[in-house]
Amino acid sequence: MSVVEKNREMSDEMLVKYLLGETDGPEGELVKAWLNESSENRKYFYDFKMVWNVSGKIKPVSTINESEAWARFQQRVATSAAPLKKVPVRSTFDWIKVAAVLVLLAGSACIMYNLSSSRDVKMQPVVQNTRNAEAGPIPINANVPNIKKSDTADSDDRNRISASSNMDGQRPVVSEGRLDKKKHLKVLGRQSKEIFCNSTPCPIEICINQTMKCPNNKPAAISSYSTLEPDQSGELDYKAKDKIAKNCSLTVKDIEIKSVATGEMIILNEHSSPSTAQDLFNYITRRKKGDILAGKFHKDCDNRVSDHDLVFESNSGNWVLQ
Amino acid sequence: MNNDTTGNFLAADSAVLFEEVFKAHFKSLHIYGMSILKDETAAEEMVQNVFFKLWEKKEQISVNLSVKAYLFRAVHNECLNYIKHTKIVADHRTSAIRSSYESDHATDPAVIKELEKHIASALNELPEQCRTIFQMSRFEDLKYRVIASQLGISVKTVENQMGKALRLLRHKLVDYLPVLFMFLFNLKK
Repeated sequence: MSVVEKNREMSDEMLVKYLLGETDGPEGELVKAWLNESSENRKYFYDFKMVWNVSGKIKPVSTINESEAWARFQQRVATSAAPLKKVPVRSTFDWIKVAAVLVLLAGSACIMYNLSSSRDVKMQPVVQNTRNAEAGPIPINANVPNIKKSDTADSDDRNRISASSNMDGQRPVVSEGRLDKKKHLKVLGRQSKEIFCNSTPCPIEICINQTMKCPNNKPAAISSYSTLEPDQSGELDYKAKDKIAKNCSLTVKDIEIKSVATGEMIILNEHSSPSTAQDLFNYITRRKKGDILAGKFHKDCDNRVSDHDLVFESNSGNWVLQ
Repeated sequence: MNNDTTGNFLAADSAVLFEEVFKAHFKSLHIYGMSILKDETAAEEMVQNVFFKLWEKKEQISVNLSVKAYLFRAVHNECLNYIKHTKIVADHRTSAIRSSYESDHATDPAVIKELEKHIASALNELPEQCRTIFQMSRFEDLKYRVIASQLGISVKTVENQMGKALRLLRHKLVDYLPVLFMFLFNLKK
């Protein structure tokens, strides 16, 4: 350490403040007076100045655009599908509540289903598919950690199904691989349906993707779409286990619930939380009774930021936003 | 965004807010990472890692720091881990990163390059908070009170850390300072 450093009375903090123009009037005068005292003092100050000036030259230049980086981040989140903390699902097996719900169900919630023409309340076939495998990352609006980007084959399958859906309970079967479609249709039997009500203020679209495995055959994908307007009742299509051929197994691959108004999508798969696709499926098919939290929408029907839990109440068959 | 605390930001649990925070801080964090790693791609990876970990843990962690202080610290740690695992020695990569730096060398390029190299390596030896504050002042041209506000610390702390940063840098560079001194007079001519 030099003599200058030992003897000087000026603090480094004050010198740096002065260097950066952060001193007030009196402090500035103090530093100036100190600088005038000796050439050693000036040399010490100029050292700081030089360090400051040269360090400015090593400022890295970032050529990466924030929006592009954000897109990469979204993609990473979407493809990770990492299991998150489990949130316990409310168990509400309560006879009084069940009775109340049944009264509600009979009296009011599904009244529209009975009063309206059956055509109005019946499932609407999906008219468009918002998922485009070639359009880059999925727009991340809701439940990002749950979103798993599907591969091209999946999206293609869905496109084909949605384009050719019909209303008679028979849905075309899309094979994974090169299987004979007719053969599969025979194996699969017919789709099953559950009545459910959309008690949320927004139209919702539900797609249940299942996988069927039979001996000596490659797995087949079965997708069923159901769309309901607010306060509308209808049938939720899916493939029931009791209708499948002997020795075949049926698993739920994923369930997509889309808020049609905002495009937000909750995707449940085997890794998703708070509920997996199978969890939700068990409630939808009434194998389990009670309420299940499907996920969260981050926007209301008018696209304003507002968080709501989407819950399925299996007792009443209602989808509700909380 | 200046006064947001990490706690609030995480509690909000909103993808929209997360995006705002990401975009508001990405550039300065990327520059920070580059100053440590001297590698634009690796630096982005570190920043992405930090945000990804933050996203994954956002429901569980609670930090009583400002967003920026938290993120800078996280990027610093991420970069140091990366260096530890990949055994990157910054100096070995100097030539590779030169092109990504500003190259406005007004005078003897050889001298300046030498100094830049030493200053970059001296910067790497500053303590984390000291370095963050120095870089916010130097690379982001922020006033003391802005730095204090963004990091959730007092202006007095910023003053102390800036004094410390310059003192430590000067100390590391003391052998080259006569050169600097000469350079100064050359400039004045």
